[in-house]
Amino acid sequence: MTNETTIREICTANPKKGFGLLVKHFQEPIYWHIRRLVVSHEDTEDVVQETFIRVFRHLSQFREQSSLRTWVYRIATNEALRFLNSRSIESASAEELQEELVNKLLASDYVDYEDGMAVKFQQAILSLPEKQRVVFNLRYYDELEYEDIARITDGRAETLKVNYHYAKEKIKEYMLNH
Amino acid sequence: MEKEFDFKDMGKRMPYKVPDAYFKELEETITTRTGGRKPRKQRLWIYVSTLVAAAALTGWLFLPVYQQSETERATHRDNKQALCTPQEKQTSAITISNTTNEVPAPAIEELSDEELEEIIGLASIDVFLN
Repeated sequence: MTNETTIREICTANPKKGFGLLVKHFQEPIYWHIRRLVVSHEDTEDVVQETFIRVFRHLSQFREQSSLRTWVYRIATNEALRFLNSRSIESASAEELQEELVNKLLASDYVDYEDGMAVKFQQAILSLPEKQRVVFNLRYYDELEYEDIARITDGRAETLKVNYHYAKEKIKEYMLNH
Repeated sequence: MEKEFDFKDMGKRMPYKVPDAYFKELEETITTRTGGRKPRKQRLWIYVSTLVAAAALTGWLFLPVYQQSETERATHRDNKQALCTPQEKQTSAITISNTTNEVPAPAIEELSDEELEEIIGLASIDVFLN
């Protein structure tokens, strides 16, 4: 499996080939990260494509101050939140947007409804405020360090740690009471 | 007693699914969408170098002609002013100062057909003229 250092080196020598490797390496984790935020497969498809096009266009501007993974996740997170914010302009409030996301979860072609507990767990995640949801997903599913999450979300590692623990408590409570 | 929810029971399981062979197709879609393009920095470099080359060529074509017509006009002005009264000289100076910023029309008349064709060809690739 190609590692990030190799991808970076190939990107410098041959941007087109390097980008191909980058897509192969990141497409699945980035798809699932975006899918957990925007819920529907169709919306995720659009956001994933926009993310990688943005990565391609700015590849030459990538600075090695952060890891390639952090940089790609940052672009993906921004694209997903931009998409959700454009939807929240259409909705009257953040609560309505959350409700819309839950409705999508409960009526989608690409959801396994036989796994009721997994569906409920996603509902619990969707009940969190946006920032907590992002932090929880990045830590729980992608196992990113708080320092990396801080670079992705422009936050402070200590604050994000607190956010993550609040999120876990809220999810526990939701799973017991719903 | 109410059982506490354990994250270990859930693990990383998700109910989300994707269509068959989706990731293979995604890779192809992204490659196709970015295939015809070049990274932004390279494209910008091409635009900038084209503009610099066009500006240099324009300068190379016009500067000798412009300098020549300036010299001719200065000689003509000196001769004319030598024959004027002081009042006429003042009026003439105002007129000259108002016209020095204009593009010298005779300069184009003095160009050969080949030179004009070259300038017209240059205008067709100039992004500011098209």
